[in-house]
Amino acid sequence: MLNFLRTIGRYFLAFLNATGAFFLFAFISVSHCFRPPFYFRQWGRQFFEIGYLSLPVVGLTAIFTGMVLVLQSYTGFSRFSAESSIATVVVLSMTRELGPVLAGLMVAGRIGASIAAEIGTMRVTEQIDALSTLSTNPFKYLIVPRLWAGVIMLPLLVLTADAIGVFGGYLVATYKLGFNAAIYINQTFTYLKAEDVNSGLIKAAVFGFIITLSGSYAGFNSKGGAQGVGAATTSAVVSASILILICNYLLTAILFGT
Amino acid sequence: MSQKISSPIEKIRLEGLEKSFGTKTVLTGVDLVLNKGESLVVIGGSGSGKSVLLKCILGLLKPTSGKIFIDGKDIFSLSNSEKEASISQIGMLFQGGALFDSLKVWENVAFGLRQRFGTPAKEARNIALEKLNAVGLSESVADLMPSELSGGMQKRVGLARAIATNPAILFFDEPTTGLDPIMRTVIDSLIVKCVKDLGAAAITITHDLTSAYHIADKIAMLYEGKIIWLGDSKGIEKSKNPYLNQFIHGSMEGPIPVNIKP
Ligand SMILES: Nc1ncnc2c1ncn2[C@@H]1O[C@H](COP(=O)(O)OP(=O)(O)OP(=O)(O)O)[C@@H](O)[C@H]1O
Ligand SMILES: [Mg+2]
Repeated sequence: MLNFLRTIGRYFLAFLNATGAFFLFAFISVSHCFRPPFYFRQWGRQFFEIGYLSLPVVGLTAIFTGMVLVLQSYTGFSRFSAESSIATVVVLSMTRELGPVLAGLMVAGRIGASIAAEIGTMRVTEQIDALSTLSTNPFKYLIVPRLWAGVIMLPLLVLTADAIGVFGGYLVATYKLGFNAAIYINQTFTYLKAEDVNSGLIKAAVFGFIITLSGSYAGFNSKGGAQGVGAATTSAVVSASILILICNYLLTAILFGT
Repeated sequence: MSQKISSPIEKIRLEGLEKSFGTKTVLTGVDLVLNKGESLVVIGGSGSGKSVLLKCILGLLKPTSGKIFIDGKDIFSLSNSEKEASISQIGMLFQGGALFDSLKVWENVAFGLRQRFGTPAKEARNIALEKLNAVGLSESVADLMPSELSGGMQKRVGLARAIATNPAILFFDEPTTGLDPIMRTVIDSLIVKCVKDLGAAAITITHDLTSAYHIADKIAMLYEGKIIWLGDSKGIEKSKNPYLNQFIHGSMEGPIPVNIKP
């Protein structure tokens, strides 16, 4: 019994320790985000990698999500002849929920992993140590550009995803299900409020921060060669995905709570 | 000693430096003084903590206890920016090279110049080419990526990067491991030149005793976390220290245990 409690205690302490280390890392990283020097060449590279190169995967996810949303809601809504609500359902689900969450999860897989792998490799090959001996703060050089790129590019990606998703829905509705194009478009925008899109963009910025921070944290603290880098990659993607889902719930409760 | 005109200027002083990782103790009390224009070679068995010693001085590892003085200032009592300034005058060659694999060779060498002094790209490139020449690499490698070089070439690029800013203190972690005999002599002479011409203070870690004799003003042997012997290269042959004797002759018999099963 005592042994059992001891084990629980040990895990609990380890958990607190890890959480504390993560928050400390986040705090240090953020504090560097606003203090020069800024390495804008690194920023450029990260904006390109996180934003532009994620477009295909995010776009693909969005278009199929929009398409399937129409199919599914058509099956349901046609049972009580509420087909006219489909356009609204699609645009609201896309902008408020599916755009940010799906884009976030896809980018977490793509970017979280690559950040953890790159920074992790730099850690185990002592390149991060070398940076500080060459008068360069590794936080400012490696992490700040990634955090900014995540926070700025994710909302832009989600905006694109919203548009592509709605367009995907429109295609299926008009070409497959025979909706009138003008009426469908009109219904899409009638009930859409700025707040629906904005809330999605706020979520996206938070997710961008979570993804890049998790990747950086895992990479920065990786140890022990290739195996350590592999473990860092996995942990970056897993923790980013879980944090995205948790924060998505919390943000929804805060943003739309009364 | 009496003819010496100027008294030596102290660059680095270590007092009772200890470092352990968890329960594993690596350094158990290192005391050391390094003066300007002096070249110290540290020898010692694999895993004896030579690299850890350098990393402690560089602030990359936090010592468990003990003091580190650079230019007479205790670096743990300095503010962050003062500490950075103290440490930034150290040029370091890492044991594994630690070249930035996303940057070209010349950008690696010029990195410190651009970061520390804001040297414009063109000028920094010229200095980088000059330093690459000094380590026996031609201009043609400047635009390659580090992964396109051989191990020995990477090591030399790392060396060029370490000396690029003409730092006042130089740390070389096994600079000649993996080099051919001729290159080894070239690099040894380069290190001597850095110390003599630029008046730098240098600590070199090496397993190669020929190099050690060539480079060193002083040789220190690290064993079980302490410096157990310190002297010049003439003294090393005459020394009666059984640990040192066993080590330099590479003998299996002696006080240093060799943990292999027969
Ligand atoms: N970051 C670390 N975490 C835990 N242990 C470490 C760490 N760095 C070094 N050590 C341990 O410290 C000891 C000394 O390592 P160090 O790299 O200084 O050896 P060394 O004298 O440079 O050996 P070599 O000549 O093989 O390079 C080793 O036993 C190593 O396992
Ligand atoms: Mg070593």
